[in-house]
Amino acid sequence: MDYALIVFANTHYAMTAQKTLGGKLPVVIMPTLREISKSCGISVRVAEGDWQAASQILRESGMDHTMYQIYSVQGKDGVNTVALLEG
Amino acid sequence: MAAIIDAKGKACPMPVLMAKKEIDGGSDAFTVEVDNETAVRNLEKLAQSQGFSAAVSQGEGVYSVSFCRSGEAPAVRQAPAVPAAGGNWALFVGHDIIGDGDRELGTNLIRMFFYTLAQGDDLPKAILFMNGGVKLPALDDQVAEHLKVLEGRGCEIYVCGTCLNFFGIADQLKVGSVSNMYDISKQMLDAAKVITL
Repeated sequence: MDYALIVFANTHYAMTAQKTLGGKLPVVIMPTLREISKSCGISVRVAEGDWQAASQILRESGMDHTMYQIYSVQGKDGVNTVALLEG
Repeated sequence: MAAIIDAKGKACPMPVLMAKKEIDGGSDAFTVEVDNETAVRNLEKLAQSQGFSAAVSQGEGVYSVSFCRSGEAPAVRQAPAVPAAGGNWALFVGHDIIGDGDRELGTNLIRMFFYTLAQGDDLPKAILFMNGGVKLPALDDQVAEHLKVLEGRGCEIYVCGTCLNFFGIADQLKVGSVSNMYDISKQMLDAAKVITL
């Protein structure tokens, strides 16, 4: 895994999650990968080792767990391989 | 005796324009007096681009930049160490968000734009920040990181010094060169196309 990507059901959850996670973990806002189609266009990228902490922070914030998913992303030769980690 | 140009108290880009006028008038040696380091850096850049040497001396709150024609041809801008895959285009950023519907959404869109640009192959030759756009390389950590990647890949990043001063954030610039209207307009005019955000 190169990094973990949190994708959201809509833009408002994505922006809320960014604010919730920001300051607690290093996060980067990035466009949702084309390989992940069923989500809004804004995703939150976290380091490989941070995705479980991110998941816990979002759970504890009360965010509806059905409104986001967490994927692992591995990139090679310009092709991304994604796998569902949670959600 | 070499002319002395008093540009103290002149706002960017006046010192550079005054020096350029002296060069265009055929002068081989002259001195420009300014009162801030940004003007010194911009004058040094001008000297380099015009085939002059520039010697800087500092007195009490005054910098004297002595221009002397070096006899060398005006500097041709070197190709970046890692050539940009894209063509000769420039990106002009006049806002710190994309669009005007919602500020928070616009902030996220511009972060994603620079993320995507930094990951891609078609890179601009120059990225130019003015007005509210200068807040991005100064205050937005995420965009600044993407800009560092772009700079490392050969993009030249110019940030308007007047604008940084206006917002009081000149000391917070994280990436790019403090620049002026003279340089920024030249980059726009030299580019085959300019994309404006």
